[in-house]
Amino acid sequence: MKTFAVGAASYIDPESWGSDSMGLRPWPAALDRAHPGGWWESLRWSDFFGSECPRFGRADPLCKLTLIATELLAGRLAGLSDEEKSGVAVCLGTGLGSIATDCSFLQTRSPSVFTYTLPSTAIGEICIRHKLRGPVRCFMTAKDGCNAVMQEAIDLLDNGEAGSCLCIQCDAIGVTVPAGLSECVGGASGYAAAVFLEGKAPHLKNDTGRYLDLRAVADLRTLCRDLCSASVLG
Amino acid sequence: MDSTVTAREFAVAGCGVVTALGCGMRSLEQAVAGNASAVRQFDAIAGKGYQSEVAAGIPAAVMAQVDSLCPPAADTVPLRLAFAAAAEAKLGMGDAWSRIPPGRIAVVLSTTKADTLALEAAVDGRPAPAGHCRHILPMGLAGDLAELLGARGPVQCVSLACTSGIMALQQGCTLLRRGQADVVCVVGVDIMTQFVLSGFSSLKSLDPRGCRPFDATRAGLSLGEGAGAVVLVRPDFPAHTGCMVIGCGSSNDANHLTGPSRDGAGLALAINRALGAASLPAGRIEYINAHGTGTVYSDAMESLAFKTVFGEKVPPVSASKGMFGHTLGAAGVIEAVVCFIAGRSGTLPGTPGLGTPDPVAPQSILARPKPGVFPHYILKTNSGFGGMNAALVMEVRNK
Amino acid sequence: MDPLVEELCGKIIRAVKLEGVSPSDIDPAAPLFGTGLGLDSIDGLELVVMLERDYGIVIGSTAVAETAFASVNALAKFVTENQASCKKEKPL
Repeated sequence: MKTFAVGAASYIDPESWGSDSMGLRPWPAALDRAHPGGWWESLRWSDFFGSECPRFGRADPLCKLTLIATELLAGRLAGLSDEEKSGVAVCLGTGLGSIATDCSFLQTRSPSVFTYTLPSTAIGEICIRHKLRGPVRCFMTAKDGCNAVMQEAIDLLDNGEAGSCLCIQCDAIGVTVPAGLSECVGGASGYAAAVFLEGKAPHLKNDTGRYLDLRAVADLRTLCRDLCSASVLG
Repeated sequence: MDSTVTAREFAVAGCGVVTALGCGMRSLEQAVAGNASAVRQFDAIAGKGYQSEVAAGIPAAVMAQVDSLCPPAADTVPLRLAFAAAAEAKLGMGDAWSRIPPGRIAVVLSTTKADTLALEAAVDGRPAPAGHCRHILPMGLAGDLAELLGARGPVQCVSLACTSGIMALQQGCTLLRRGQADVVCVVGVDIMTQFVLSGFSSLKSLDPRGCRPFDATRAGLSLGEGAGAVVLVRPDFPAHTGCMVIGCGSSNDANHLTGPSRDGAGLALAINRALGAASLPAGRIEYINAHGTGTVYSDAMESLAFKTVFGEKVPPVSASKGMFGHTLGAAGVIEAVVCFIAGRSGTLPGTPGLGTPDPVAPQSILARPKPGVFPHYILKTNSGFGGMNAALVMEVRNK
Repeated sequence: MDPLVEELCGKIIRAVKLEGVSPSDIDPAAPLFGTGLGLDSIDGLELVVMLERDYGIVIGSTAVAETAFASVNALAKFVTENQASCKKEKPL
C-alpha cells in the first residue's frame, strides 16, 4: 500500500476557489474572467486573505496562483514546528511554466520580471512565505500532466527523504500570448491544485484520520478538486 | 519493500559534452588538464548594450562540428547541442546501448529556457528559425531528443533554475531505483541568447572583465552555453565506468528570490542531505566542485556553507565556470562531467579566472590544476534563483 | 507633501507594483528596504531603471544606491541634487 495521510487540499480555477475545509465557492462576480492577461489579474490578495502578502502584486501568474493555492491550505502548515517545516518537501509540476512571463520579459526587459522567468521561482516564493526548506522538485510536464508530481511525492515520503510533502500542479497563461506560440501552448489556461501530504500511514501526530492510496490517483488536479468539493477520503 | 527501492547508488556508463571549449570530452579533458578558459570577448554579442561582452559563447567552428554529428531532424540549436552531447555519452557505452529495449531507455532533460531563439522570434512576430516553436517548452525538446536517441521510455524535464542539472541527475537515479528504466540519459542544455544576456544584464550580474570565481575582486558571472550528457545505469549493468552517483540532496533558503542567504545554511542543508543519502561522513570527501559563479554574494555564501559542513578542514575546492561560463540549466550536468574527468584522470581541476583568493574563500581553493590526485569521493554543488540549492555525491571506483 | 516626494511615491508604487498602496500610505521618512516599505534588491533594480528612465540619473555603485534609497525623502534629495548637477554639466 502507498497510503498517505492527507493534511489539506486546495483548488482554484476560473470558476471557483476553495479548500477541503471551506469547500469550493464561486469567485465574486467582479472577477474579470475576460482579462487578456488571465482571469487572476483582477484578483487582489487582501480581498481573500486577512494576512499581508506584500509582494503579491509583483509576482507573475504562476507565482500568484501557487501562492493562493498554498495560502488556502496554509492552516495545516502553520501547525508545524520549525524542525518539521525544514523537512517539508515542495514538489511543483507545470505544463507551461513561466512562458507567459518569458514573453513579458522580452517586451519589458524589466529586472523583476526576469526573476520570474523560471517556474521554480514559484517554489521560492512559497518557501519564503511559509519558511519551508525542501527538498524541492520542479517538473515541466506535458500540459495538464500531473503524473510526475504524484510519483515523486510517493517516492519522497516512501524513502524517508521528506516527512511531508506539499504537491502543487499549476498552469497560468492568458490570451495575450504572441500568435506564433499558440501552436505549442494552446489556449488560455489558469488553475492551481495543491495537496499537503503529511506522511505515510499510520501517521500519529495531529492525525486527520484521512488517508489516500496515491497509486490510485492519476491526476493531481482532479484529486484536489474532488477533495475540495466532496468527501473522497476514507 | 521492493528490491528496486533499496538500490541507492547508480553508475555512470558514458558522458558527453559541448561547450565553448569544444565539442566532445577531449576538449574538456584538455581544458581541465591545462586550466584553459573559453571565457573571452565574444564578438557576436558586442555592441548590443549588454553589461558585458565577455562570455563563453560557442564559436562557429565548434557549432559546425556539432552540426556534422546531427541528423537533419535535429533542427534547433538546443536540440543539436543536446543531441551531440547525448550521442557521445551513448557512444561511450559501446554496443551496450543498442542491446537495451528502447522502452527501457529514459531521457531526463535539464534546461532553464530551452529554445529562446524561437521565443524571441515569436515575440517579435518573426517566423521561428526552425519553422516551429515546439522546443520552447522543455517537454517538446525532450520528446524530440528522445525520438532522435531511439529512447521510448519515460521522458522527464526538470526545471530548478541553476540547480536543474544536479536535480536531473537525481531524477535519473530515481527512475532507475523505481525500476522505470534500465538506462537513463540525463542531458542538460541551455543556449546563450538575447533573453539571458539582457536578463542578467538587467540584474547587473555580469562581470565585464569575465568571471573570477572566489577571487577577492570578483564582480559577477560570465554566461556560457552548451550541453552535457550523463548516461546512468544500475551498478549491476555489464558496462559502466566505475564512477557512481551515491547521493543527492536539495534545499531552499526560504530567504530571498535572487540573492543567496548570507549564512550558507541552505546550501549546507542540501550538502548534509546529500551526504546523508550517501551514508558518507563529510570527512571522506576529497574534492568539491563548487557552483562558483563569480558573483560577490554567491561565492561568499558557498564559502560559509563549506565551512559549516567541513569545519576548518574543507577539502580541495575549485569552480569550473571560468572554463566554459555559467551554462545555467546545463551547468550541473557539465560540471558533474568535470568531476567525472577529475576522478578518471587523477587531476583536480583548477579555477580559471581566480587570481587572489577572497579571504573568505576556503584556504583549500585550487587556482591551478593539481595532477596526481585520484579523489574517491567528490561533492558537486549548485545554487540558483528562488533560493535553490543542490548537492551531488559521486564515488570513483577502480574498474 | 513636497510635490517631488509625492511624485516619487507614485513612481515607486508603479515601478515595484505595490498592491493596494497609495502615495499617502508611504511614510517619506521610513526606510524603503527591509523594514518600512519592505522592498528587496529586485525592487531596488526596478528603482534604478525608473531613475534612469524618468530622471536621466544613472546610479553607478551600491554605495550610491544605499544613500539614495534610504527613504523617499533621501531619494527626493538625491534626485534634486543630481538633476541639478546633470543640468550644470550638460547645458542645453
